Amino acid sequence: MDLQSLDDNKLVEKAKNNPDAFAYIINKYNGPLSRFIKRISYFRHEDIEDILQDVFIKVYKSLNAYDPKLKFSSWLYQICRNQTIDQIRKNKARVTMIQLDSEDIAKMFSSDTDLKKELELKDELQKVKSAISELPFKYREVLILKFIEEMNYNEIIDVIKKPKGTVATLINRGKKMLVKKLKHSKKTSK
Amino acid sequence: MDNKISEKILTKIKQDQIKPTAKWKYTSRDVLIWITISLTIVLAGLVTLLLIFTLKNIDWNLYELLSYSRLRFLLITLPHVWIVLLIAFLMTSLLAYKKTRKGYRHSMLGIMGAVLIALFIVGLLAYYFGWDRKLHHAFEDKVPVYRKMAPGPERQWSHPRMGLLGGKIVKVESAQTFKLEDFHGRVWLVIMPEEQNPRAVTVKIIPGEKVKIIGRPVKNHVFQARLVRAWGWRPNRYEMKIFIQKKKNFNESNEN
Repeated sequence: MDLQSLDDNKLVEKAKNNPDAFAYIINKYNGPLSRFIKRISYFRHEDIEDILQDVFIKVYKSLNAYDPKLKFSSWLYQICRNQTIDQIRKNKARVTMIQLDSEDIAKMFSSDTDLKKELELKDELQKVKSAISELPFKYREVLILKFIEEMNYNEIIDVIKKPKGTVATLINRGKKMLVKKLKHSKKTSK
Repeated sequence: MDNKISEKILTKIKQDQIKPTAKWKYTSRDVLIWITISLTIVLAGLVTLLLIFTLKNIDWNLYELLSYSRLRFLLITLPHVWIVLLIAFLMTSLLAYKKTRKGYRHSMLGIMGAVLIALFIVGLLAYYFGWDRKLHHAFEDKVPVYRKMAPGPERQWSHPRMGLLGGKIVKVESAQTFKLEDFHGRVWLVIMPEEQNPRAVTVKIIPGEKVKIIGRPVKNHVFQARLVRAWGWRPNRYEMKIFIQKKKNFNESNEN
């Protein structure tokens, strides 16, 4: 049987008894997950690789805990997020700026009307990055999940394990804070 | 970071012989959580019934008789045991629900609202069918500790210094005195009312009868009664006001 043609749930079932099937899951998700870690944290490439290894080992150990009613990618992001948060806590002293590239920022600003208004700032990449970096983690991560990872509400709920109302509040407050910071940065640069 | 990472991870999995944690471990955790939720909800339901029974049977009009502020009376009278237990069971079930696989999808407020609505329905049904009374009597008969800890009228009528004494008649000594065992197991010699008031005693003084007495302690474990009533008697506000007025008049005439 061609393992590559199997969907996530079937791959999970196979991987429980055959670690080789797990390699397909790793290959499919290591790119998106490493980008996600990069976006929500400030870790360097080598650190991200270490986190990813821990994430996939954890995922492998927890395969029997996976509920197929949940989207597999949401479950994976949930474990990845928790692992990243643990690492952020351990490495608090090494806080630097988060690593968003210009594509990420363009994606974020074009997908929301409130943010679109501040679009001219797109050119001032450094300022935007610093505004996003200054946001508290809880707001930063939901904005990244919503506008860059392009997840829907239910997926975000499953990733950060918070109820819908809380997710909506975090997104709205995060957006408002970001717009405020950008406006402030615009004023100071004039 | 391409296929190298998958090779690295697979090598580690095979070398360290890492295996997925057995499914039964997750299943038993889930079962344990749901047992906790069910159990605490049932207990919260039972406590709600006892709370309803207590609130229904508290003699609220005794407020007129005691010289407490309304707030103090309320604080003393409210069935704290049941309220604390109810909150404890509700919080436990709520926290346990949050630990279920999909518990995070619902807000604490939403779950609490749903549980309170369920308890409200239980309360209405209990009121209609008298489940609260049945449960109280079952507990009273079969759980000795319940009799001691039960709040409500028993506790209200356990304040001899404030003039309120309740309990069971154990022996009739004479036409003027009888012995009564209070809710703490102490035996009192009760002296019948001195006044020539035909409504002062409206219950048959016979052993085994549960009574409510208003009066004052005169000596150690000796109580001078002014009103003796059956346990089922509920003091009404008007009656309490007349009683207080009479007491006042009596004290004033004694002073003069």
